[in-house]
Amino acid sequence: MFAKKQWLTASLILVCIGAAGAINILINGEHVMGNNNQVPWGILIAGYVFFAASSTGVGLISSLGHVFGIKRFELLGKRALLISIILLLCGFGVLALELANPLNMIYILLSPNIKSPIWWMGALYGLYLLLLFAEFYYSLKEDHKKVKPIANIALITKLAAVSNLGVVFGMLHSRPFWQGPYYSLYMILTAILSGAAILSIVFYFVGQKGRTVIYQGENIVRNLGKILAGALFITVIFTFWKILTSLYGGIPGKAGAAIALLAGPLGLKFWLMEIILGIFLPLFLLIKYSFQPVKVMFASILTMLGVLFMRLDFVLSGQIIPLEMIEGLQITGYNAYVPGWSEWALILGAIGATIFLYMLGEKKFNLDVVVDIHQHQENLASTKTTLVKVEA
Amino acid sequence: MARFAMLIDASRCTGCNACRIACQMQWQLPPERYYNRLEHNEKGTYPNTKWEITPIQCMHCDNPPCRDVCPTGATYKRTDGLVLIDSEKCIGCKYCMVACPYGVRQINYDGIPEKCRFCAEYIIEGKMPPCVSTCMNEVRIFGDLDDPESKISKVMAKKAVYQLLPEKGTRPRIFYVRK
Repeated sequence: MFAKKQWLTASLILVCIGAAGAINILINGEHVMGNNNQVPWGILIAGYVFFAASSTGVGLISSLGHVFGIKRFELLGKRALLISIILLLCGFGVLALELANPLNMIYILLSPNIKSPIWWMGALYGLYLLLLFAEFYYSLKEDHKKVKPIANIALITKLAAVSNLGVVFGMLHSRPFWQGPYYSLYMILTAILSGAAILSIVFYFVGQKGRTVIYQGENIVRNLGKILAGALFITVIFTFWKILTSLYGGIPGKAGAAIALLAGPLGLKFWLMEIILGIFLPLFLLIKYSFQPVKVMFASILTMLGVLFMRLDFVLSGQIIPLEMIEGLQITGYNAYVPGWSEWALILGAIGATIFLYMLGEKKFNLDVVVDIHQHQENLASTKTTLVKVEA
Repeated sequence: MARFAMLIDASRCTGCNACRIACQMQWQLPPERYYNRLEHNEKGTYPNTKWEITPIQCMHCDNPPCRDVCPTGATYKRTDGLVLIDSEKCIGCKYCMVACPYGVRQINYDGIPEKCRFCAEYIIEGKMPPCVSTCMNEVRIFGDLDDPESKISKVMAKKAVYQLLPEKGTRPRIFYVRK
């Protein structure tokens, strides 16, 4: 589709754009960002959720292979681990620039407040990153005896981390639209959604390069496409009921946020980017073309575009309704938020960095899965795809 | 140990904003940043309408959500009831801003979400916060609830009072005289 050089150039251009945004934020601080006293969390928090949940989703799907032992998903192996690491690092990078004083992070260790969901977010995602590094290291050494227990602990950690990501918002009694356990489940679901989409994109191009993407005659991208379709379908159900329960009864703060999504300032992003481009169009492509790998790849790109706006809608919808601290206060209008160019640049830069670092990883490491010789011969017989070098 | 609190009789407020300006002068705040504000609400139907004004500032809650969510313990509550921020520990995540149901935190130039401090450095010298001392109508009364001889204790014993958003469970230290 694209040559390697074109991918590399595009990713480096994005990284440069991101660097310009990051420098502007580092020099001028909060004042070049769109967040304000009424909307303290903006696109960078959405960006962090986008990257961190995607990293977890990639990890959750790859667990199907190395934790649950479903053979076909073992193909995802080292590539999934590498993508997961890169996405999480990019997420941390985006978050660090959102924080006004990231150097004070040392106090997370020196004076921890374990009642804070953000403290747990740091602890769980920090632990997850360490486990990912360990799992990747031993996977590269093909030391499966060590990989297996690490993968088991990592599965529990990633589930705890991503559901806690929802709790960060769900614990806020001041924001009725977020409050409750819904977003913990939603985060797990949409993590799987973005994980399936990212792995589909990567493994489509990996297959194009003639690497192993076939298991027993079926392209792994087809399987990932089916997971993607399932996750998209459940996301429709989740979103439908979230909106309906928020509207029902006209509860202050909840109903207004739902109306802001349906017909307010978030309407265009919600309907066009999140629902039509991000959910219905990918579902149509997947089902109409029976999970053809190329169509799965296009559907996945659209899904990821939708997920980016889904995260933004999610972060803004909880803050868009002015707080009502006085009974009967007439609330007119919405809280305004317009992201600065630096914030958009940073998100683009992080996407570029993800692509660039992955390509670097492909070059640097042997990411092909070592399949046993019998499976290898079986695959050779059933497909004409070039397979990986098999270790003796 | 003192138990500092504030009583606000909003019905006496003329909306002159002297409290806000006095606070800005005290803490050298730029015009766009303020630690107290007046919320205006139009009541009644034309021609019988009136402005209802409610002064709002940090409630110094006994169960402050901003303290609970702070990952580094930068926001803390003193035994005398003041909710303060240790800016050395603040990472600038703004979680406290999102958690506060009264919307009283303001990002300063260092990225610290600041707010009313009940003028902690002045009240220990027996001085009144400027928002109290500057008000021509004595809208605010500040004092120690544990001292039965304090003005706030005496007035609160006589008047019916209420707190904002009691359903949030924050137990504010700012009380309002019921109209």
